[in-house]
Amino acid sequence: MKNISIAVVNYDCGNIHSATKALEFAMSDSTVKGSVNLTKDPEEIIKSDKIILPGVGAFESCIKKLISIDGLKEALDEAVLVKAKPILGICIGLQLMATSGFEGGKHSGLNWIEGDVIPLEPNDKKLKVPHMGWNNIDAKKNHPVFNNIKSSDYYFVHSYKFSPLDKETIISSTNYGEDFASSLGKNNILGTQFHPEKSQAAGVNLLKNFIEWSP
Amino acid sequence: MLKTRIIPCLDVKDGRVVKGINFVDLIDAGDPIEVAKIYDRSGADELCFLDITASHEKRPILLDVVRKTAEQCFMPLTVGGGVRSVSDIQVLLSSGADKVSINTAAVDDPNLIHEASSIFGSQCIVVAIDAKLVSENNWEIFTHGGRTSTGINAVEFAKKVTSLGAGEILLTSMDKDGTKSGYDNELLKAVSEEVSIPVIASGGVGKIGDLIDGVRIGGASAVLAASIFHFGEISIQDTKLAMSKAGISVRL
Repeated sequence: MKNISIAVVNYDCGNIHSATKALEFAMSDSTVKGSVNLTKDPEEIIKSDKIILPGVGAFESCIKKLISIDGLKEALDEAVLVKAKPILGICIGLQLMATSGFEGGKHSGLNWIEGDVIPLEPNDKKLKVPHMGWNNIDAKKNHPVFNNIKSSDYYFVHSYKFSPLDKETIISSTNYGEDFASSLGKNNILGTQFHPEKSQAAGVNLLKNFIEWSP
Repeated sequence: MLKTRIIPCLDVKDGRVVKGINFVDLIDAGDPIEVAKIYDRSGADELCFLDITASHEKRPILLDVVRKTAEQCFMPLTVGGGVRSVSDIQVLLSSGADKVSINTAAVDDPNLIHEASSIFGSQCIVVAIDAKLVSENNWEIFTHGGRTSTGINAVEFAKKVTSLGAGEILLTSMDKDGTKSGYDNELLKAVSEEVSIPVIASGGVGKIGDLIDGVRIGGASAVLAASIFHFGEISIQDTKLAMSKAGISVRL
C-alpha cells in the first residue's frame, strides 16, 4: 500500500475547495492512499508527490496572483520540470502552463507546454461564448488518466482555448463550432480545459486515475 | 457537441427546502443536501438553490448548506437569492457555489455586474431576470419577487448586462411561473436571439414537451424547472430520453 501526498495549489483563483473535496472522494475509492493538502507553501509543494493546479477566472489576474506568492513559481518549476512530479492543471490551471495568454492583453505563462491561450471563436454565430456546459471529448491519444471512464462528457466553462505549438501535445479535442484542445500533456504534465471536479462520475474517475498515475 | 442542460431548482428557506419534494427514497425531503445528492445521482446537469430566507441573520445557515452540498455533489451549483454586493458573492463562491445569481441588485446597480465579473470572472455571474408581458412584444422587468415594477425592458436589460460582463441569463416569465402551461417562448426567443451568452429558461413547466419547446422555439441553452422534478412527476432520465428523441443533444 502506497501513501502519497497531493498538493492542491492555493493561489486564490477560484473554487479550490471543490477540487480538494473531489480528490479526497476519488482517493477514498482508490488503492492509493494518502493526503490532499491545500497549500501555497513552496517547500510543501516541492516535497509533495503530485500537484494539482486548479483555477477559475481570467488569465491575467490568475498568473499575477501566482507570481505574487513568494517562491511559488520557482517551486512549481522545480517540482514539474526538474523533479518531474505528475501535475494536473484544471481550466485556467491548464491555460497558465502556456507560453503566453491573450486574455486582458498579452501575458507570459509558465511555458511548460509551448503555445498560446487565445479566444474561442466558434464559426457558428449562434453558438454562445462562454462555452458553458457538458460536452464530449474525442481522444487523440491513449493516456492512462483517461482509461476506463464510461462517459466522455465533461463540464466546461471557458471563453479561451489553449492552442499548442506542437499538436502532439493534444490528448483530446472537443468541438464547439471549431475543434479545440480539451486536454493536453507531455511526460509528467497534464491539463484539462474542463472541470473534472464538476463532472460527476466521469470527473471523479479521472481524478482517481491521476492519483494512481505513474508517468 | 455541447449538450442542453437540465437544471432542477430548489427553493431554500432557513436551510430547508420549502416547495414539497416527493421522492420515494428520500429520508428527509426538507434537507437540501439530501435532495441535491439524489439529483446528482439521477444525472441532473447542474443544480440551482434559490434562497428565500427573509432574515439576514439566518444567512449563515444557507452558507452551511452550500458548503455541505459542494463537499458531496461534484456538479455545478448556482446559488441565488438576496445577493446584493461583491462581498455576498465572495462568501457564496468561497462556500462552494460555482455561480451566483443576481436579481434585484443587478437592476438597482448594474455596475455590480461589471465589478463582480471583473473580480470573479464572467463564468460565475448569472443575472436573473423576472419579466412580465406588458404590451405586445414588450416585457418589463419586475423585482423584489415580482412585486416592484421597474419600467425597464427585459430585452434591452439583457443586452446591457451582457455587455457589462454577465456570463449567463436566468430568464423567468412571471406570467407563466406556476401555471404549468409551458415557458414564455416568445420572451425566451426575444432575449436569446439578442444576447451572445447562454440563456436559461425558467417559469411554467408542466410537462416534458414544455422543456423541448423552450429549446427548440425559445432557443434556450438550458432548461430549469422545480415542481415537475420535485414531485417525481417526471424523472431527469425520462426527460433526457424524450429530449434526445426530439433531436436535442443531451447528456445521457
